Amino acid sequence: MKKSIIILLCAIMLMGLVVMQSGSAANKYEGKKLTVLYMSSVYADAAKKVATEFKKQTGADVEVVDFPYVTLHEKEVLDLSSNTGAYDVISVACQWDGEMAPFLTTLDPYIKRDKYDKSDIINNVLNQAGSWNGKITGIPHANTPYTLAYRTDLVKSVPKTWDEYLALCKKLTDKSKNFYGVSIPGVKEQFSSLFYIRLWSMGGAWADPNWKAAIDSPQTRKALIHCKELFNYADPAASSWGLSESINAFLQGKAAFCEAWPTLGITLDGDNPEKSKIVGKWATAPFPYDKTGITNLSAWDLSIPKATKNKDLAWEWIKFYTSKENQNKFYKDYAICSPRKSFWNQPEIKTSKIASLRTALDTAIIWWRLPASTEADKGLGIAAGQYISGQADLESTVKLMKKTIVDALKASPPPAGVKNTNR
Amino acid sequence: MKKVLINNKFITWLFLLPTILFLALTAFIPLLYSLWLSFFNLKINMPYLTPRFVGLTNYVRMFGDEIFVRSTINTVIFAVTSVLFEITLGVILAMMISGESKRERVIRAVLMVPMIMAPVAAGTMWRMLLDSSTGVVNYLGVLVGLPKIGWLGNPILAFVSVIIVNVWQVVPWTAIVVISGLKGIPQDIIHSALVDGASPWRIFWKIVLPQIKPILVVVFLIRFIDAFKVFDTIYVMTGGGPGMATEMLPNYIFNQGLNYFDASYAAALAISFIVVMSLISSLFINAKSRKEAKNI
Repeated sequence: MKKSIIILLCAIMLMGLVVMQSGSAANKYEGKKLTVLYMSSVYADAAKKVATEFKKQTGADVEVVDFPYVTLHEKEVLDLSSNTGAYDVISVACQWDGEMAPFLTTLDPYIKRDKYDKSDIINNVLNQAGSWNGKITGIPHANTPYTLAYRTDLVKSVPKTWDEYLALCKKLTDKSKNFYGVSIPGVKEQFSSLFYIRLWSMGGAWADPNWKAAIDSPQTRKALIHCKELFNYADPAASSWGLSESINAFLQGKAAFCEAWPTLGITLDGDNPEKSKIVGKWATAPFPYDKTGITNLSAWDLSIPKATKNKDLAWEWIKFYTSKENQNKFYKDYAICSPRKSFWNQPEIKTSKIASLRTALDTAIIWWRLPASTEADKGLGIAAGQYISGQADLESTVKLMKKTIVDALKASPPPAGVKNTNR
Repeated sequence: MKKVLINNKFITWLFLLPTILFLALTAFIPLLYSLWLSFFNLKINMPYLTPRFVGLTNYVRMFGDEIFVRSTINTVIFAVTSVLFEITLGVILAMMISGESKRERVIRAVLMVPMIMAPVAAGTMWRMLLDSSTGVVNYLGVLVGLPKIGWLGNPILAFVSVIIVNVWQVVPWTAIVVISGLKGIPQDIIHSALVDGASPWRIFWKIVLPQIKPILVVVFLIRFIDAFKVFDTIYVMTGGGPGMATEMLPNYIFNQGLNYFDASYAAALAISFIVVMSLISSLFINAKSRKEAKNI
């Protein structure tokens, strides 16, 4: 009897210890506050939605801060370079990886410690977003390759070449009915991507692997001429359109093709009768392959600034936000495409309208990932805009583009030993 | 007596000291730092690069910088055109609403609205108004049989649009300042001219305009300097596009400093900007002072 009582008491004590331990693990970060920074978009919306769940799991409050893309780069670099530690986690666009890497925490020790399964992340995406110079400074949380959206009732067969594409846009344009072959974002910071897609798929590049400017090429000229021709089959307002206007024009049934980041509007609202007049009449497809089939990649990775005092908690947020469960939830609620291989292997994704994006994710690239990339990108966008709006001829445009590349690399030289593995 | 004078001087400087300290901290020291920075090579986003002295390289770089040259030309054209319209329309408006009737006072109050709007808000509103697909301006134009116009997509029209928005915002201010000048004109002169049979145009040209000329010179100087500093409207309406059509100097300096983080080059651009504006202001003030001295 005495023995049984002793055993029972020990069991109760043991249970109590276990409960205390799990309780303290759940509330390990009780009273702590995490500040996370995202681009103003579905990524920030998703973060706000799951913040409560994160608090339940860890006890920490999460403040989600977001800024539009046009100001996010400035905000992030200023915060990082001045070591304010204002943000514990920041969402970094992959083209800023190299620029921000010196200010970010290397995540390899955390990945190793917690056995984070990075093998589930699409290899090309991890190479383009989050990895820099052999180290991992960010975990990709969203990605999308630049693809076409098109009207399935008007386009029976997606064009295989750029010439076929232009010809089809011309054929489908009916200005008397205010219907155009293509809807495009014409503002220079968006339009530049459309020029790059054409340039890269035609076999062109900004620079060679040793950073020598290679933009003065037949491919550049061909891509520019194509871009200029494309505007003949777009709404005249397109030259001042941003992404939302061009996507909306497509959703309102005013264009046969739409060149826009599909997850920023089309995949979410395409089949929503409240926002779309083309319900069930659209699909996505890769751009014409031409010589390389390379398209532009948009990918974002979550990183931890070196200056933050909440590194462990920040890492918990990164694991939480990029978990398989949340990534599936984000797709369902916000049409955010996950960089996880397991996400794309799900039967419902393989048969969905975004299935065609998967192959492109294996080859899509961002432009450069250096400090020089912002200046080069903006400068090329200005030059392309000059040509397309008739302010400059082809040769002076190409000359300006070359000067832009050379000047950008001179002002912000690539770090020693880093080669141009993109274009 | 000497003691009193020294005391007065001391008290004067004592009262001026807070302002001098404030200006030193907020204006002179940052200015000197920018000047020093412009002779170096410093990139905020590249901490591994040691800043090094490069002399006048940043200043020389400007002259080979096509975007800098174009943005400067754009800014000069923008400033001159805007200010001429602002003053002309401001004077016309002032002549129309300078009376003291209730109607004129109400119109003056309503006209203050553009003036008190933040430039960013005004630019955003006009961007939506001028959208060639969904904007109200084109909608009304189509109603009266005009075609849709690509206001912000066409290089020339985009430039005209930003001038229109700037003029729209500033004309009320110009009018208010000119009205204060009009009220200072002795009415006897006007009545005498009327009695002598002078036409309204002659009265305006020979009496009113000379009387308000000193005010117009000051307005011109202030507005010219302000027009050179245009940033918000361009940033929200066109971003400098299409191409370089509406790229202005302040936007370009902003890009260099806060997009490319080339602090040194941005500093050199800013210092050059300040020097040029100071020269223009000095020329104006000297010309005005010489003219006033001549009149005396």
